[in-house]
Order: sequence, then structure tokens, then C-alpha cells
Amino acid sequence: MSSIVFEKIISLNFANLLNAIGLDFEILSSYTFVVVCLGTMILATVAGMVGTITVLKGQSLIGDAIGHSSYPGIIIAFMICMSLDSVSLMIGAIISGTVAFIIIQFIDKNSKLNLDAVLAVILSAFFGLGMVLKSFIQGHPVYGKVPQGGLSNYIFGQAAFIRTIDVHLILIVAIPSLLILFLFYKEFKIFIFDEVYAKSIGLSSTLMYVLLVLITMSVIATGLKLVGAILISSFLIVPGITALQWSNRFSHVLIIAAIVGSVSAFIGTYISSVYAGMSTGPCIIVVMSGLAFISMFISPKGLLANWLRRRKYLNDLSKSIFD
Amino acid sequence: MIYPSLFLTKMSDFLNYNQQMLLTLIITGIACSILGCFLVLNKLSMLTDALSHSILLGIVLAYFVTKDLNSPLLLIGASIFGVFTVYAIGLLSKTRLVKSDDAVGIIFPLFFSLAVILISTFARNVHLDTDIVLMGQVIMIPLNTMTVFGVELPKALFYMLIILLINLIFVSVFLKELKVSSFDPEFATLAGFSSGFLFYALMTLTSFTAVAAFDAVGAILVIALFVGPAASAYMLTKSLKKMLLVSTVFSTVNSISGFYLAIAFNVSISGMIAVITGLTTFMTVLLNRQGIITAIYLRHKNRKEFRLDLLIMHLGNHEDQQDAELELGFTTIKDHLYWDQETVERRLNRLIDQGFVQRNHERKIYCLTEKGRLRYDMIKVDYGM
Repeated sequence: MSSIVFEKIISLNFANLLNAIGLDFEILSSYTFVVVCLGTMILATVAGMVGTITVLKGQSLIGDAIGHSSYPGIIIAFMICMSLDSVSLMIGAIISGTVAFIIIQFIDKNSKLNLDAVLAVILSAFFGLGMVLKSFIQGHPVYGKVPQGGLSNYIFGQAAFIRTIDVHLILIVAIPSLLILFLFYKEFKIFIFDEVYAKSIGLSSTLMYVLLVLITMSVIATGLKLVGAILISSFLIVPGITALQWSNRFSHVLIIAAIVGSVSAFIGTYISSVYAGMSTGPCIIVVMSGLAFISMFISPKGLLANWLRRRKYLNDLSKSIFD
Repeated sequence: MIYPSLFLTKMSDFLNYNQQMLLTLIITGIACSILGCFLVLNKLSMLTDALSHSILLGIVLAYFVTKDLNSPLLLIGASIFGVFTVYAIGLLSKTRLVKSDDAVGIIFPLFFSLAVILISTFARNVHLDTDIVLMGQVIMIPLNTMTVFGVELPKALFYMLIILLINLIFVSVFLKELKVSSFDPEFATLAGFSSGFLFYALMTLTSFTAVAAFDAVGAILVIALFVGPAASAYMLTKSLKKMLLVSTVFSTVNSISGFYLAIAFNVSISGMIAVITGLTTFMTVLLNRQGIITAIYLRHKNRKEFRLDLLIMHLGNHEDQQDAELELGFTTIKDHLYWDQETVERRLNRLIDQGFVQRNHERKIYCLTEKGRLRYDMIKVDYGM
């Protein structure tokens, strides 16, 4: 009996504490918020870490193209399974994203086209295919009978609707992805910074690419339901870009990216729960980008530091001239 | 027979809805692909992706000012915002804190997110659907009409005609400058004109075109129209003028075939045109002069020709020799070429059909004809022997 009272006192105090710093305890303790927040935070953490590699490899726009390209896979998976089951839709997204990735690599290798142009063409063609298939099943006598309202959530994401099973799914993808990242940490490091050296010590760059694409693709596919095909790419690259402002060490960058991802996921989810009608994905991205811009200003390599350094240099210079 | 009245001519009198849609799509495609050539040449293709997404924020902001979704000011506001996006991306990559790809990747999702948030919180009851922005509403083109000089025509068609005209004038006036700054920006600066000015002029027009086009065809098809035909033309041509021409042809073919396929299967028109654009670009990758299928075909053809040349050489070398019966005999020739009997006969038959080789039945050997002799001498010269 006394322990319950004790817990209540503690929780009340905790609630007061939270209220004092401007957070609403009601919302923070609600089941929906906990589920959504867990989902987005885990996703943003993993995406931030995996995406850092893409950023360092200079391929940040590939994520955008793959995100768009996973849309037709979702519709095809729906047409095959005739249900809105998260797992099968995710597998569909992974397959079509992979196909798009392979085509992008193929064209990039076998033509004089710039990667930019290849990405733009593939992105629009695949998303266009998604639109075609979506309009095809809408009025279709067979597919039209199955409720398909959830399908458009995959374009813009609808984090508010995710359930416990989706969080499980995110965990199932997140844990192996992180494991791969940690197990192959050294290999990834060499692969990113000196691909030629990596080859010379017998590290297969094909294997590394396959691993990288595998984890990137699965992170994108799980993220689609939360953030949508259009915006998933920023989950991958913005934390990485932010982290790169603060450190030059790969391990530090990974950790900072993870922190940036999870913190912005928390704040973004909170904001979207407080103000009704705000979508979670876009909120998180605005917070993330805000952190990125702040970092560009105040980090040790940032604009402010550069400006101060230059001013100090000029001051010293003028002093040494006039003294 | 319908007599159009003197003062008010309706476009629907002489073109049905489908034809009006198709005409608008073709005009839009050409307007986009002309600028697209320069975007592809300057490696700016992904900027169209950024533009077409961030325009949404421009439209929302302009809507807050004008309070009218049909106002032309909305289009102008959105276009200016598009240019601002490009400027912001340029500014960000100029700080050297991020790479230019990263700058694109960070700016446009931010703008798009802001737009989605603004729409969902402040503009809920406005007819401003994020879905429509992405996918377009080609079907609605003929229903949204306006009257210009006594002619009632679809609004989208009128806007796109004006944009096409502006683009054509811009490209033809600045063709030389655009060419130089695309292929040799350093020389352009030395020659005394600012490639920065051209860049922003190009981006302004791109932004205007994208804004005018997106309402009818959607943001995704805009990307395809800008980049697809230009990319295909880039692989096929070696001069800028030809590239411009070929890209318009590609764009028109894509629009027409995509449109009719979509009508036939009753599916999204802009989606179908985007798919067809992707397909034609992919086919061009495979089939152009340096393409992979062309390479395989040429390799195969060369190998075949080389084998026949080799055969003629063999015949020519041994014809006058003592061991001709041994080397060139009907049944023994195969031992010296290490081919099987069937292959030898097939290849020799081809040479006989072409008139290079004849059968000498007295000596039971194959030997060269007069024509074959000439060919033999030519091969010797060709291979440097």
C-alpha cells in the first residue's frame, strides 16, 4: 500500500518537474505517444547512423531516389497479398528500392549520363509507376474491394497511426542493422575513406556495397510508414550532416548522428502530439534541419567560429603591423 | 457544322477534351525539355527535384498573402520562391560546410515539411491537396478554362504556351552564351559574360516552368519532363542544336504514347508519362552508339567479319603453295583452322555466296575468285602485312 502511495508521489513530482520545464505529462505518458515516440526515435537513431555512411560516400541524393522508388513496391505487394500487412508491404518496398538501385548503378556505369540525371529519371519513373498502379487498383473490381486507405500513408507517412507491431518491426530491422554496422565497423571505415586501400588488403568492395545497400534499404522500407517515401531521405542524411559539423572522427560522428536523430525524433513527436493536425514526420524533419543549421553556425568549424577566427587573425595582424 | 462566333471561340468546338489535354501535355513537355537540356548539361538535374518539391511551400506562402488559389500572383510568388530555394542551396554549399548534394538534400525536405505542416494546421479547408501537388490532375485541364482575346481555352494550355514562348526566346537569344557556359564556364567568365547571371536566369525560367506545369501535371512528372528527354538526347547527339531538337521529339513521343496508354488502361496520365519517359531513357542507354546492347552487337559482328577475313587469308596464303591440297582440301581444311566440318562449310558457303571463294572440283580444294584475290590484297593492307 505504502509503496503505491510512494510511487504516486514520485510520479506526481516527476510530472510537476516536467510541467515546470514546459512538457505536458499527460501527453508524455499516453500510450499512443510512447509507441509513436519509441518508433520514431529508434528509426531516427538507426537511420542517422546508417545515413552517415551515405553522406560520407557522397551519395546523399541516392537515398532520396530510393525512397521515391520504393512506392510502386508497396502497391505491388498490396496487389499480391491483398492486405495492408506491414511486413509484406515492407518487403515489396525493399525489392522495388533494390531494383531501382541496381538500375541506377547500371545506367551510371554504362552511359555518359551524370548520376544526377540518372537519379532524377529513375525517381520519377518509379514513382510514376506507383501512381499508375495506385490508380489502377482504385477502380478495379477485384482490388477495389479490399480497403486501401492506408496506402497513401506511405507517401507522406502517418506516424500517428503506427501500432505496437510496427515498433516491433522497426526493432527487428534496427537491431541487425546496428549489429552489422558494429561488426563491420573497421571495414566500413576503410571502405569509406580509402576504397583503393580497402581493395588492396583484400576487402571486397562489392560485399561492402551489398551490406550498405541492404541496411539502407531496410531502414528506408521501415521508415516509409512513419515518414513517407518523399521525406525519408532526410532521416538518413540530416543527422549525418549535423554530426559532421562537430567532429572529424568517424566514431564520434556516428554517435552524434544517433543522438541528433533520437533527440529530434523526440521533440518532433512531442510537438506533433501537442498541436493537433501537425504531421509527425515533417515536424521531426523541421527540428532535425533546425539542429543542422544551428550546428552550422555554432559548431567549432561553423560560420561563427570562422568569423571569430578571422577577426582575431586580422586584429593580431593589425597589432603586429602597428606595434 | 459549328460556326464559331466572332467574339467568343471555344477551344472545345474544334478539339475534344482528350485532344486539349494531349495538346497541353505536349506543349508542357516541350517547354520543359528545352530548359532540361541545359540542366542536364550543367549537372543540375536533381535541382528540378528540389524545385518541384519546395514550390509547394512557395504556393502556401503566396496563398497566405493573396488568399486566392486562382490568382496569377500565386504562380509568380511560387516561382520566386523556387528561385530562392536554388539560391539557398547555392548559399549553403558556398559555405563549404556541406557538399552541394547534401545542400540539396537538406533544403528541399525542410521546405516540403514546412509546407505540409502549414497546410495541415492553417489551410485545412483550402483546396490545396498535397497529393494533387505530387500527382497532378491532368483530367482537370480542359475544365479550367479562361478567355484570351475572345478565345476560350484551358488555363494550363495558355500559361504553358506563354512559358514555352519565353523559353524559346531565351534559348534562341542566349544560345551562344548558354553553350559556352555549359561546356566551358571558365572561358565564359574570361569572355566577359557572367555565368552567374545566366545560371540564375536559367533557374528563374526553370522555376516558372515548373510552377506553371506542376498544377496540371504534378511535381513528379515535372521532374521526368525536365530530365528524361534531355538525358536521352544527350546520349544520342553531339551538337547542342541537335540535342534540343531530339529532346523535343522524345518529349512529344513520350507524351503521346503515355497519354494514350493511360487512357487505354484508365490509369494516372502523369504517372504513365513518367514511366514511359523512364523507359525511353533506359532504352536509349541500352541502344545508343556507346550503349551496352550496341556494343555486344558490334562485337559479335566484328568477330564474324574477322573470321571471314581469316578464312580468306588462309585461302590466299596457301593457294599457290605445294601443300594446297592438304591445307585447303574439301575435307582437310578443317584440321588447319581448328573448326569443325559444319562450321567450316557454313562459313565457306557464305564466302561462296558473296563471290569471294569458289570450289575447285579438279583439285578438290577451295580457292579464291578474282574478287576474292582483290579482297585478299585489301585485307593484307588493312592488317598491315
